[in-house]
Amino acid sequence: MKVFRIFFTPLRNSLAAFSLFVFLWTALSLFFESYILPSPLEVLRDRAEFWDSAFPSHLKATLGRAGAGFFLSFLLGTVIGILSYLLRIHVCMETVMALFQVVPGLILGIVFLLVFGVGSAAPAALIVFLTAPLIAINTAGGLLKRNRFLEEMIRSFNGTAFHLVRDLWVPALVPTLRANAASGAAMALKIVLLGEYIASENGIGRLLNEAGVYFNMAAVFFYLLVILLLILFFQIAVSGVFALCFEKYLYPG
Amino acid sequence: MLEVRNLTKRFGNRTVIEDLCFSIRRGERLCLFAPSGAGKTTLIRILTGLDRRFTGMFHLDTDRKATLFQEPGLLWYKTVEENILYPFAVRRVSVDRAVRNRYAEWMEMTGLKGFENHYPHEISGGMKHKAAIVRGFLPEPDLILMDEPFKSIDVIAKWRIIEHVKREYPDLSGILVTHNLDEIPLISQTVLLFPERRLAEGRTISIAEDTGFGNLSRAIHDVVRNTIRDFD
Repeated sequence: MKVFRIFFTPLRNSLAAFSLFVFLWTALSLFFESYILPSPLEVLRDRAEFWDSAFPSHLKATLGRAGAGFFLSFLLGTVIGILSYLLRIHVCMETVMALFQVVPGLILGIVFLLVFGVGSAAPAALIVFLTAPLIAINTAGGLLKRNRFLEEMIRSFNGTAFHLVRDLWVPALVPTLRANAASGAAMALKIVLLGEYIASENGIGRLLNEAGVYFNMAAVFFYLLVILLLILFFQIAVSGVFALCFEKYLYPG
Repeated sequence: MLEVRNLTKRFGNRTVIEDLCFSIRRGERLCLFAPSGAGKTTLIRILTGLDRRFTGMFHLDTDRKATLFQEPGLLWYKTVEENILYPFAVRRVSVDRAVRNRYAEWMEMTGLKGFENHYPHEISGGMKHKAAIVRGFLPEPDLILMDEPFKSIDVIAKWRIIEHVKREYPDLSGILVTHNLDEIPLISQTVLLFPERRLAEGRTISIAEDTGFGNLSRAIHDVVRNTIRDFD
């Protein structure tokens, strides 16, 4: 039952949030001309125009970059977070990471465009630079919030560092890792679009760029809809994986 | 069993334990009674080995010690049974028939029987404390350090646990930190009273010699009066 609750609660919340978004979008579209803000129904009606034979290859390129960037930033962010906690430099590291966060993605995107050129490397690097710091801060925060009474209990029974890591640190990090995975995936997708918008010759970001140039708002909102559905899919998949693999470590409720 | 010599602990400029000396023989159970903030929990943490920043020394005759903290400290993803048997898992000691029998006895006595497969969030606060107590006593320690272990447990259950411990663990040495006067004569033979808000120059009262509650209650009354005077 707990697995179902852990899995279906985010699913239900995601669907509710998506429904609310579509409702608000529909409501707002009533106040604007359709060439500025088309309604969801109008966008779906014209979907064949945007979902052409080239679209799957763009989608594949975006997903590939987002996946690679997310994987790298998740790994790097988690390692940096754990190391900064262990070396007791998390406060300093947090400031450094926050500075990285302050740098606008657009500036970094241009820098990476100049460094890596047009292609997949610039968007992926952009994801790593903007997402890994957030994951690192969350990871160090998750470790700091762990229950010190439990740590003392384990040590009082002559538990070693191995027992602390296995029985407390890893289980305590699971909810943080789940949150990191869900938010990191959404951020990765958002950032890769920016990277593709600035410095790529394919991908949904590139399509958004072209749609913007021609002021084709129906296309812009169609791509937005695709992105939202992808993010929802990511979040549901992450919840499912954690519910199946790490169910017992997730706090009840 | 335990000898504490000139133990001093400071937090910055504040001295909470000053030149503390006392000893416990095998089978002796000592109660520490002092105002809040006097450093009782700090002393328990030092003797447990969780705080090594102190001066002076203490010597323990045994490695078989257990600590009952103020918080039950149950791992949220383990069942009550897994939590209780956790010390055996950490120390890689097999749970043999004798342990199983003792476990069954404790579960019956504490009323935890039937809750073995429950998770900590599925049981009450008092039950969590009981599980922590069973976890502490089950490996049969030689010395037990208790920091207000009964604070969420009802009087009858507390009395049953104490009687069980006295019956089944007659040679157990221990230190009890408590604010409950009724627990002191039930558990301890000796009380170490500290009138000031720090552990220094304690006054030792033997409950056996006291034959009752008279001297003890008078001495505790002095401590309370001094504490109130400090506040004024």
